[in-house]
Amino acid sequence: MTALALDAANVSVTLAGRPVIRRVDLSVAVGEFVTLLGTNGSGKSTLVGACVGLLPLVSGTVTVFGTPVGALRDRRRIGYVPQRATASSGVPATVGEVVMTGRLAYRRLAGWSTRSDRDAVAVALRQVDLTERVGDSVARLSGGQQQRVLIARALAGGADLLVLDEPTAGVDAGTQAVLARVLEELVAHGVTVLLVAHELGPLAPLVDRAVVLRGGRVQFDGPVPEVPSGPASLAHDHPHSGQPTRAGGLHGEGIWR
Amino acid sequence: MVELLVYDFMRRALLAALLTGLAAPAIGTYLVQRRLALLGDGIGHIALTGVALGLLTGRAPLLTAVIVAALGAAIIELLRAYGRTSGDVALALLFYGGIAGGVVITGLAGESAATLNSYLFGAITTVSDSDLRIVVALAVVVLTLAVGLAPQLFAVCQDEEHAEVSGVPVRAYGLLIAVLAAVTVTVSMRTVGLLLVSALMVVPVATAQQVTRSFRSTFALAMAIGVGASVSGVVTSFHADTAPGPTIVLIALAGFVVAAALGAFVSRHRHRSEPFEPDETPVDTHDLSESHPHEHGPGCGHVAVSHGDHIDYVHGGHRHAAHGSHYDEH
Repeated sequence: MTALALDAANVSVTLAGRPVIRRVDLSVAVGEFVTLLGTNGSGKSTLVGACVGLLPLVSGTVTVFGTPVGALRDRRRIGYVPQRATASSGVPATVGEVVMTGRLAYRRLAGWSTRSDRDAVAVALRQVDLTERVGDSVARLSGGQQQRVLIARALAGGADLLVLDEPTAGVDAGTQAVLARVLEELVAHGVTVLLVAHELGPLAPLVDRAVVLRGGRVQFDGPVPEVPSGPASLAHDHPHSGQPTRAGGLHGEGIWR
Repeated sequence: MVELLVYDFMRRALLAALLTGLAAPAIGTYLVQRRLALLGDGIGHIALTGVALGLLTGRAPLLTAVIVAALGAAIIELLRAYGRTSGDVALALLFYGGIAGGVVITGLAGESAATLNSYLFGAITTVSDSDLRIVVALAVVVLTLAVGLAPQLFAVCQDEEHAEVSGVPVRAYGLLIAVLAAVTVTVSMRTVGLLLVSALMVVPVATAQQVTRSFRSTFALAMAIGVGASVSGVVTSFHADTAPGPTIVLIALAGFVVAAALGAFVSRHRHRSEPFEPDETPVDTHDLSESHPHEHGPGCGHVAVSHGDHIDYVHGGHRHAAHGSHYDEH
């Protein structure tokens, strides 16, 4: 039997009294790269929020590496990139300071950062091509660079399971290419990836399996090449004001480009 | 300055000002980072009920104020974290309740509303030895925790969700920040007063961030500015015979105006020497898009962006530009 990095079984989640996730099963094997697709409001972010322990379950269970996520003591095993438009907050912070928060699970109370913390931050920044910007304020970075800062923060923790919530939304081609390269290296080293996305772009060749959500339920779960045009179009929610394109349902390169 | 130290009341006033100037911006930095800059203001109003309870029961108003303010701050944080009430509405509810309760209970204690003035606007020159001992003890606790737990507090205030997934007890830290803010408010009560305390928590931070780019330098500079404004405010008020609290706040605000002008000058100079961010540098490579059956054009559904002498279409995070029979990545 294949070991599972993440196993969500019969999961239901309610937000403000409204059921958002309805009896969903989602499993990700160790070393697997799974993408979660769906239109806005289909419940993708809610499902990953429940999977990393941020949201309470109305029913079902979530286990991470065989341990219920709420009881997982070694939080270093999960690297989480939340959906964010910016990496900045109300007070200036440098790229290095933000990425260092990815080492929090390693740090003791009231302790200074150690040599290994600083080395891990340097490696993570090198992976996302931001070494030169370590001392810059994150607020001065472009949207794509800020997204890379969030990814570096997750990498700095050295996680076995990386959960990324729409890291490619609205970012430049350079950042997408960097992300593809970084994820390819991590997958080669056995890291498990759960990626929420609208369009996969250069990440498509890395994906082992796609799960498509609709109305809080799994509508499709299977290997990428077998995804028919129907479910694929579910992940495609930008407006079309003109005539239908000659590409039909997949719309140009579509999500599988 | 030295001649002021001859007076006992001025020595106490200057020490209280020094500690307030350090503690208020220290915890204020975290509040501003969480975008809860006005939390101190709300807690100040709640503390007024605590002061009134002290007057009613004959206990030290400083102690009753710190207890009531801490309870109020905890309720605000819990409503924000667990309730269906947003942070600002939770704040407003306790804000009004605090000041109304303060005035009513003060009346029941047989005191006039004028008694509250020394708490609302500060009365640093009337700080007693017992007041000072409480102020010193509380300020040391606030500073030790605000500095010692900086990595955890910074992470929680920077990105609560990420911190929670990393195993940080974010609810506990949120509660700690709220309670530390309440303690700071009561520490500052005799220095700048409950109505102006928020200024000393927020203005030095706003001033520092005009010229800083890291959290660490903002934190340190805000505390230096807080001390500078507090101590110089007390000295100025002694010589100019003005109310110390408002004098401290006006000096802090003057500092903000100077820093904002300096920040604008530095920013303009930087833009002149670095007109483009690295990502904004015009692309001159010829990078072909992959297979692209979709035809971009007016009304195709993709956002059109003017780029030099042509139009780029934003497509899945890429910018595509028509070039002969294919599309280039721009």
